Amino acid sequence: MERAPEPFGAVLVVGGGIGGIEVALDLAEAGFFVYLVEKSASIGGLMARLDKTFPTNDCAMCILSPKLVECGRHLNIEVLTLAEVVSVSGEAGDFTVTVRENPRYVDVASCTGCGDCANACPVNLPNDFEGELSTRKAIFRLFPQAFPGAFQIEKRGIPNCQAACPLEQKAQGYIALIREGRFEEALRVVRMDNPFPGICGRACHHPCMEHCQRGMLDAPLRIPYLKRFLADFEHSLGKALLPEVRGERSEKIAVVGAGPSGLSCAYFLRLLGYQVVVFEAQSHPGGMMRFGIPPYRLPRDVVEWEIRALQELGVDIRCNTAWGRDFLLQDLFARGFSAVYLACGAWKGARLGIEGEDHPQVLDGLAYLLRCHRCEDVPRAERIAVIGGGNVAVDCARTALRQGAKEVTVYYRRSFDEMPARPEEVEEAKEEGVEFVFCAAPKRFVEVNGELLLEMAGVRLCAPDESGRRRPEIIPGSEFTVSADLYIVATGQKVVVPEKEGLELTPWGTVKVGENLATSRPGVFAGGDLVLGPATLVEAIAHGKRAAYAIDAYLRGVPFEEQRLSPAPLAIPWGERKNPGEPPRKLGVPERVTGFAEVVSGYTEQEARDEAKRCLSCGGCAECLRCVEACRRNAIRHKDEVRLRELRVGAIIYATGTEVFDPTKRLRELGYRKYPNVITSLDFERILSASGPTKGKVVRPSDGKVPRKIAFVQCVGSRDRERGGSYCSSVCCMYAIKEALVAMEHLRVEGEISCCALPHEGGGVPLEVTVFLIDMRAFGKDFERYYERAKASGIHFVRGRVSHIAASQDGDLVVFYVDEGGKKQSETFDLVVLSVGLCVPDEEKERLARSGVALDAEGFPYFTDFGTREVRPGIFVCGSLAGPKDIPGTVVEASAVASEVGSFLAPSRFRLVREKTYPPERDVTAAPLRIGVFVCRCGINIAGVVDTKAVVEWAQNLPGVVFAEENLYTCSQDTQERIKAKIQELGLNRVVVASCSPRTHEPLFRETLKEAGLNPYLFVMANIRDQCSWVHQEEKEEATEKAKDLVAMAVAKAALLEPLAPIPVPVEKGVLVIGGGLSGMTAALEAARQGIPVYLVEREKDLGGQSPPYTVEGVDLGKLREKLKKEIAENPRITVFLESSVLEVNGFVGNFESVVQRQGTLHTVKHGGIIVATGGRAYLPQDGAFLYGRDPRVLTQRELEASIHAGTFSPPGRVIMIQCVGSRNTEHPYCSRVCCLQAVKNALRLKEISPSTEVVVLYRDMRTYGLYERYYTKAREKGVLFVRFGDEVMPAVEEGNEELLVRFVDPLLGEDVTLCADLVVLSTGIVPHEDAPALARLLKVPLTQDGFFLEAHVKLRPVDFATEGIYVCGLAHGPKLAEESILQAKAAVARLMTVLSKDVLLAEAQIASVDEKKCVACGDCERVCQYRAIAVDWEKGVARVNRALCKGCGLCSATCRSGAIRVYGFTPEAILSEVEYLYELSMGT
Amino acid sequence: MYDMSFRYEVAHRPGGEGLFLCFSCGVCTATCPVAEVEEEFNPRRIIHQVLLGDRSVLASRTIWMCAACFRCVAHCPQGVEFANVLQVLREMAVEEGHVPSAWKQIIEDLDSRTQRLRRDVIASLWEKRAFTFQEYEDLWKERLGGGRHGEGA
Repeated sequence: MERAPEPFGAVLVVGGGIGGIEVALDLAEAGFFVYLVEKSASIGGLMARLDKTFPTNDCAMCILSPKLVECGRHLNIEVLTLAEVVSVSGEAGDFTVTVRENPRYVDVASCTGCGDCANACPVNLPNDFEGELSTRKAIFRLFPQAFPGAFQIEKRGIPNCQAACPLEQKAQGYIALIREGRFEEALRVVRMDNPFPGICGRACHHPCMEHCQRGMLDAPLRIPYLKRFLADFEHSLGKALLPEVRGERSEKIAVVGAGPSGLSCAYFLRLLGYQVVVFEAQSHPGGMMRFGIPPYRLPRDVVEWEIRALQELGVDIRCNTAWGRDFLLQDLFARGFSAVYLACGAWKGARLGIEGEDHPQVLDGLAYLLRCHRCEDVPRAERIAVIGGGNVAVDCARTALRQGAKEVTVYYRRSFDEMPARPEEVEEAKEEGVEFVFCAAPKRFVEVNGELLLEMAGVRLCAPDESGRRRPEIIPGSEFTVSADLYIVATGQKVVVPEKEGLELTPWGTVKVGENLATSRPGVFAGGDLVLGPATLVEAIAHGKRAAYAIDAYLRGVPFEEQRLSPAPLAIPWGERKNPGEPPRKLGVPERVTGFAEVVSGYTEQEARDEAKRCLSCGGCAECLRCVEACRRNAIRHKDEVRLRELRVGAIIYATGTEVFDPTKRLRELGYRKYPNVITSLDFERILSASGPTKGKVVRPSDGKVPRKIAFVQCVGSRDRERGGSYCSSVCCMYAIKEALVAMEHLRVEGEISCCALPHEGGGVPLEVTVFLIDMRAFGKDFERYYERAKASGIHFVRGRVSHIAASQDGDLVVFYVDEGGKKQSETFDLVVLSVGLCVPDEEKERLARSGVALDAEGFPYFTDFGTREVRPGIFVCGSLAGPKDIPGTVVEASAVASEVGSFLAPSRFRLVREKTYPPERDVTAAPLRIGVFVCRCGINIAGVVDTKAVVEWAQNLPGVVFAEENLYTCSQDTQERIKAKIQELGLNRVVVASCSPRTHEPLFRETLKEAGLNPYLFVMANIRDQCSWVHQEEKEEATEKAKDLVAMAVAKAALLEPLAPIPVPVEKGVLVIGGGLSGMTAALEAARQGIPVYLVEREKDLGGQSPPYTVEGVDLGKLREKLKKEIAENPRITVFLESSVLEVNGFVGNFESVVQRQGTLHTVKHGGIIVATGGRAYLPQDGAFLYGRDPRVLTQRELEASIHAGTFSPPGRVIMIQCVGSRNTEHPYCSRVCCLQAVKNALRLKEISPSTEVVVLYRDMRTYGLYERYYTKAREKGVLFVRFGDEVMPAVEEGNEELLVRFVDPLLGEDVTLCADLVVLSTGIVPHEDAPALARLLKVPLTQDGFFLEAHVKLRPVDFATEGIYVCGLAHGPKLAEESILQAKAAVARLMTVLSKDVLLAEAQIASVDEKKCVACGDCERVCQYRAIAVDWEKGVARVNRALCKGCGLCSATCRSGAIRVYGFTPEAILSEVEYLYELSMGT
Repeated sequence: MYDMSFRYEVAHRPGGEGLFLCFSCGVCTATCPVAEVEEEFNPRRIIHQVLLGDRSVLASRTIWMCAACFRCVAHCPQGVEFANVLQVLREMAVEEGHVPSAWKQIIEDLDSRTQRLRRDVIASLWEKRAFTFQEYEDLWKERLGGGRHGEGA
């Protein structure tokens, strides 16, 4: 496919793990703009969750976090977090990508990461980052070093209680606050949505509780009683906790009816600032709350208290003023009211419509209650019959009992199930002695002998009517008669609307309203029972609230919008124990019926908190808005929404990685999530981590006990064709060893675990570790040594897969396995760690497929060619998504892809990058000191402990300080503007910021200085947070004194600062590639493609090197070599030196000058970088070992494949291959990585040529790592026989009569086995090239103890040397496969391009300098410098600093015995002036 | 001593198909309830012997010990059906005259009777509630014609 002539110079990188970060940085440094899309809230990926990394035991976070900062701050990388790719269109060179950014609910630009919000958040959720071994808040940051550092809010949906509530009361929020004992705040959360906590806590029909998810587990939370507890708590405080009125408004609004709906509307309108007058027809406000619901359910003082609170808020209530009697709507408008809310309820009793109903002994239920509650004269009666099944009927019955009735019977037309009354009310009524007669319908009242009787009929229930209740039908002949002194009819209420108001009504006589509760008359709204007919309390209150917002919208002339969100999905956490909780206590029946005392007692504090603890927090965030209150930066955005963005890019790179296999999916027998002490390796990483849930203490989850015996179960989800991935996950063997070793170390240590320091051995306990495995795959550089170390440390390795795990008592675990000798074992362990494999998540598979990436069945992509990571033109994949791999493998691939993309987009380099310009720098050298001090409060992080005002006052009086002030957040954008303004306005020439750590914030402030025209090195930071307020929270005064000292020291240092300038070094474009094998040729071509002149030096007569003739995939490497040679010959940018060697290398990054000797002549070349690709050598057995060299039937694999490739091979009957010849022995104590696959490759080839040939492979561990496992499987399928020969003794080859004999011990049989062979093939290892030591000396770069070149950092800088500008690839670095060499060569070029793409390099300004007068040329500095940046000039007799190479680490300065070396920015004078200040202080001067 | 054609013979019979895929992880033995009581019974070793071409396995007692619970098949990560491989070996053992053909029948019958006995014991436990150990042993004798078998009782 032809590529677009001018590609777009921007790149999309999907996935912000270590692979994505590396490729983004390499490309951005090489002149491309990068969008980095990450689906979580922070970049860092899986590596951020690791504790240590193998084999060096570096702390993962300590080596990762500088990368996070570098990537996050890069001017040409835009990080999009919580983002995912929706669609991709266009083609290579010009793609359009749609990206969805999911809401974070926190503004990244405003958030300073101070954590005040999380301290305020009451919601605790399982911490998934920590393997759910601890909890975190609903507002949180994945880890402290996260980038961006902004917090995020987890919203799973609206909590079910809230979704069920007509008021959308944030129950989960106030419950969480109750749990924490924060009752006042909890009450404020209630009052956000509801003016009547005490009333609703008692009389609401609580749909919240019905929908509580906890009900699925044991019993729903008793939400109303929790709310009531809060109201009682408020009562005990003696003052109502009311929200603030937000800004007074002049508009007056009339509310008609002081019932729940009217008062609710008044409350919310008042909170919005309106002037509200409520007109009430009765003598007292409250409506049904006062006159309907009896006091034993809802005490009157509660009603009065909550109404009084409204009046305190400024609501004007006028009683004895009835609509229709005392005023009409037009009067209200005439009196200046802007809007009216009608909420005067349904007070008229519904009639039965039967004969005799008007008799004085027949009373309307509501009227009865009203008379009772007004303490008016109530007809005394002994026997009372109540007709109806609603709450009013039950209230009447129970009230009648309390009025002295002896017999009370309730007659209801339908059955108990249909009763609208609350079941608990019916229950309580029964307890008190009320009789219930169901399925009885009244027919007529008749007077017989002066006694009023009610004739009733039996009823049967038919199909449900439109109300959903079953329709009653009279059973003929079932009539009976009821005799009572008083009949109370409570079968419903009706609405009365004054005539002539012109309001449109519904057929049922209620007022007709729209969605916003507006009536047919403009400005008139209606709600509550007037609209709904008789409804519940909370519905009435909800109408009031809705009306308030609708009226507000009406008056502001904006549309009224209300959206209800969907409830959260069901999520009962695993391991949640059953705990149905306790209901509150009730009064005994005798105490109840003698008066109107409240039946249900409230919860005590402890009871309420215990009940609240049961909440499952199903919505995640409860929107209690505590965070909003806590955040001083107004960074919280609860209304954040999804954002779609379109990005235009020239290339796309997927680095989305893999996730760990979930053993709950298909390996249930291992007990994960069933037994708490079965954990995954990732969980264990967190336990080991000093920043993890146990602070690095090795304890088991169930009981916090220190484990004495730990089992590691390997291949969980890997090498399992049935229930996991068919492939090997590559990393599990090594991480298991690492975790075991680290755990052993931790348990030997006493006291605190720190993340990087080497632990001291204490009197801790020894740990017994067993690793259950199939093959130990320690195939990487230095891995085998690590394995040997593990064995030496006493870790047992058992070759047997664990079948299942059972729990014994006390949480111990029984592991079932078979040992290699064949004995079935079961052994008890304290803790079991499942070494889970890596897999591509299903959703990622779908997403990739949608982008047009072809995937295999297990989700790994197919590539367009051998040696590339391109999956489609312009689209690339790298890292473990390209096949499971470790960190260095991922980093190499990331850089390789950066190089591939770089060659492809080369024409657009620097086209889209941003560059920043600064004002000219002010000369401050001669000016008097003018120091400005900015003291950060960091919200309350610093100011909560340190008296920042006092620090500012103190700073103002320090010598040289002309200005000092405090800032809420000194790092915020507005403060940066302020600092700039102050620098210019006051002519400041030194700046001191007293805040957090220079590690994270120094670059920001230096940038600010530059923008203000001040040299950025005239800046000092005093760390008064991490090193002061955070560690001295309990000693506020002393902390303030310490902060003053820290500031004074910083000021003392600032006075001595001098402006520094980075040194520009011009870059010589050109690279010297040493070695012309597959890696060297690839590197040369790749660099040339990116426009760099190449000098390729090869010691042999021809290019090509020693790569094998073909690969396991079937690629003909011979053809590939010829193709590369041809391309090199045709490429004008490449100069090839054959039969040549490098004699001399001088200079430094960007400016090398080397001498190359070609057949006696010397050539001098200038170049900016060097790539070492000198390859390795095949090991050959010595002294006739294995009869090699003595018997022609013994070959090496290389000889075999050469002969197969040449077509000269005639297949014999039986071939035996012997692995590990020359590897993993005392002479070569490393694994040669490639031999297992080489044997598999050749075995498969033999089977292809001659299916009848028997092939037997004798091995120690089959190390067919990653996706290569599939070839191992294929070989077995084809009938290749693999037999293990144990760990210690190599097989012996002997001559038999006609055939060769191979003898070995078979550990499975426990017997000596002798096999005959026609041909023996030795899988020989790889050894370093014999030229390596000389070249290493020439380049001043190190070798490993095995003789391969040693990279700068095994994990994160796998192709760099510590000396800048020199890179390594291929076998020179260590044994590897051809494709890995090719990718590493490309990676080396990508790293090279981060330097050579620039015209000028800016070297570090804070570097060392030598005072030649003092230098004695002892050479100590040269020995300690890791960067080869300082060397003694023997002619002049002084040390000289190479300014381009120096990193300013200060090692030389500290080493120099004559004090001749100083480091700019850290001069002895500046440091000493800090120390002197402290000294003077301690002397009391 | 080792007959390389043996494994092909086994693999080519119904039930033996997956044999070659074995990579000796041992999960078959680890999960086996027979191996729990019979140390000699080691599925991993039997497969290994077959793969190596050790025909003597056909004459061994071990291939008759499997109780056909198929746990090995359920656990095998490579899809080797050991329980079925064993059926093949039994067939071959009979065919090659290592054991009389009736033995196969006897052992199959034993498996089926054991199951029936289980059924009856469970049924009795449920019916009588107060089923004693003596009654259980009597049932043993009744069903199996006297004498205690094995160590189970």
